[in-house]
Amino acid sequence: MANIGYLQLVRHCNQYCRFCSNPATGWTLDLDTAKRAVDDFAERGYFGVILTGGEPSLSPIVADVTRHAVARGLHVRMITNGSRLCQPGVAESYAEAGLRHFHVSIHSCREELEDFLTGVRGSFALAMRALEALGAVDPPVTVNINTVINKMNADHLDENVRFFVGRFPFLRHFVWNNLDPSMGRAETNRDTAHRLADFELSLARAMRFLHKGGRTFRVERVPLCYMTEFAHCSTETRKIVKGEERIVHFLDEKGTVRQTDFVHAKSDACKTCSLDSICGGLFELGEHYDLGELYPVFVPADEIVRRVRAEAD
Amino acid sequence: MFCAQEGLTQDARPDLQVRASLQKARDAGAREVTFVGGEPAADARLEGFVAQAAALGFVRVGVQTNGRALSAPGRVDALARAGLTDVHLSIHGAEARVHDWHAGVTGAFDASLRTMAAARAAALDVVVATVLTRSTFRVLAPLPRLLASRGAKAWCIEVPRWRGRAATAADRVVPRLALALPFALHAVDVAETLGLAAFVRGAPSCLLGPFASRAIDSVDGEVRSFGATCASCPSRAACAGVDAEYLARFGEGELAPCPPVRPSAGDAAHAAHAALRAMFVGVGELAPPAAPARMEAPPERARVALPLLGRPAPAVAEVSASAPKQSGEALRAILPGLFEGPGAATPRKS
Repeated sequence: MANIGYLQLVRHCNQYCRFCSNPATGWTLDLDTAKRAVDDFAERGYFGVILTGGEPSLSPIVADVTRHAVARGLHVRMITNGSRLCQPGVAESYAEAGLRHFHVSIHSCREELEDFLTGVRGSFALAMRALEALGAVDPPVTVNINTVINKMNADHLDENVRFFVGRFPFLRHFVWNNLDPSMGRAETNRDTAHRLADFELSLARAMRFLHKGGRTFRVERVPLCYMTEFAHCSTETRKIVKGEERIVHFLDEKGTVRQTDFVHAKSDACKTCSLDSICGGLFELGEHYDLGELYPVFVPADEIVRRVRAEAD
Repeated sequence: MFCAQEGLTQDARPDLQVRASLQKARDAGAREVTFVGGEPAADARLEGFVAQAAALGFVRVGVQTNGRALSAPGRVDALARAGLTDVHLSIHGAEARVHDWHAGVTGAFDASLRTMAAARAAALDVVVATVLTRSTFRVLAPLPRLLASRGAKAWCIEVPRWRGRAATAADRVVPRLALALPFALHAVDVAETLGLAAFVRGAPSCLLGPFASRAIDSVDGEVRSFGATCASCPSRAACAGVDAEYLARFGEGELAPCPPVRPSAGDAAHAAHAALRAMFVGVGELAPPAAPARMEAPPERARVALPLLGRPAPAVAEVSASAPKQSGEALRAILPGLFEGPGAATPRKS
C-alpha cells in the first residue's frame, strides 16, 4: 500500500481553467496547520503528500512544508500549472527543500487551445518554459504531465503525448483525469463536457504509444470498459486492488475527506462484466455521463489484479 | 444486443411466396440457397422448404440460425434428411457468459454447441458468424480454437450494422473500428494457424492490414459510406466502407488510403476459401435506418469557434481570486480535525 494525502495550500490561481474542480474560495493554508496535516499523514503511515491547490506555487509555505514532510519521512509531490516554476531559481529552491516530484498540468499541445482552456494567453508558453526549467534541475527531478480529459482535447490525447515525449524526453509518466462535470467550473461551463466515446480512441492510442516506449501512466475516472488493454493502469482499480485510501484536506466546506471507497455509479450492464469487482465505475454516471455508454467486458480479472500487484505505484 | 432486424415485420412469408422465390432463384441459375430470418428454424415449415430446395436441384441448402430451435433432439437430423447441407450458426464468444449476454438468453451458448455437434454428426457443414461488439472484441482470440475443435469449416467476424437494436444501443454495442479490428485480426490469424478459414465482413480495407484479402465486401446489398480521403484510395472499389451513421458519429479519422487489395499469387488460402466465403450471405433484410440523431458538434468544430481567451463562467461557490484570504485559526471552521492535537484528525469518509 502507498497511501498519499492531498494538501491544498491555496485555492486561488493565476490561471482560470474552464473545468477547474477546485476554484478560489478565499481560504489559504498557514504553515502551522499544514504541519499538523503532515504530521497526521505521517502518523497514519502514509507514503507521501501531494501539495495542490488552486495553484500551490502561489503559497509562500511550499519549501517549509516540504522540509517538514521530508523530515517526517514523507515523499512530497506538487501538482502545478508550472507558471512560477519557469522563473529562475524557483524549481531549484523547491528541489533543495526536498520537493523532487512535479505533476505539471497541461491539457493540450495545441497552443491556442491550451491558452483557451486555461483562460490565460501565454499559459502554454509558460508551461513549456516550466518543463524546460524542471528538465534542467540538477540532480534531476521527476516530472509528470497531468491532463484533464474534456470535450476539447478528447480527440487528440495521443497527439499530446507524442508532442510532450518528443520535446521533453525526460517525461516518463502521464496522468489523465477524466472531467468531473459536477464540480467547480465544469458545472457552469458545459462546453467542456464530453461523452466517453469522444476520447476512447485517442486515449487508447496515447496509452499504446506510451506503453510501447516504456513509459507509464495512470487514468482516473475512466471505467474499465474504456481502458482497452490497460485496465491495470486505472487509478481506481489500483486502489481497489491494493486496498488504499487517501485523505484530502480541501480548503472549502468539504473540509477533510478520507476516501476509502473508489467505486462510483455503475449501470445494469456492469453486473455482467467480469471486471465489475475491480472497476471504479464512473463518477457522475447517470447524471452528467450516460449510462448507455457502459458495457460489459469478459476478460479475466485475475490477470489485471496480478499486474496491479506486480507494478510499483 | 445487436439485432439489425428489430422493427421489421414478424409475419411469416406465405408458403407460396417462399416456394416461388426458390423456383425463381433456381430458374435464374442459382445453385446455392440459404434460409435466413429472423430465426428460420423457429418456423415449422423449414423442413418442407429445405426439401423443395433440394428437389429443385440446389446443390447447397443452408440455414442461418442462432441454434436454439435446432438444438431440439432430432431436428437437425430431420433437416439433413430433407436435404439440408450446411448450418450457419451465430456464436459470439468462446464462453457461455459472453454469448448468452449478447443473445439475451441464458443457455443460448449451450444450445448453439448442441446444434453444432448435431450438425457435424449428421455430416453437415457448419460455418459460424460472430458479431464484433464492444463486448466481444477483447475475447475473440479463444473462439477459433473452440470452433476448429468442434469441426467448423469457416468463421466470419461481422462488424455490426447500425440498424435496429444495434442502432438503438449503438453506444453500448458498436465498437470503434480502429480499436476493435486489431483484436479481430489477431483472432483471424489464430484461426488460420488452426486451419480454420476466417473472414471479416463490413470493415474498411484500410483497417484490415495484411488481412485485407480476407474481407467480405458485400454488406447486405447496402450502399456504404466512405470518407473524403477514400476518394483517392486504390482499394476503394473492393472496400466495404462503413455505415453512414458510423461516419456521422465518429468522423473519418480512422480511414486512410491503402494499397489495393489483391491476394498475392501465393495466397492459396484465398482461392481455396472462395466457396466458403460465398456461404456468408449476410442476414438479408435490415431494419430501415433510424432518423438521424442530433449529434453534438465534434471537437474540431468546437475549436474553430473558440472565442479568444473568453473567460469561463465562475463556479457556483467561487470567489474572486483577489478576495481577502482566511487562514490560521480561522481554518478551524473547515478543518477542525487538524486543531485537536497531534494525530487527532478525524476526517469524514467520502
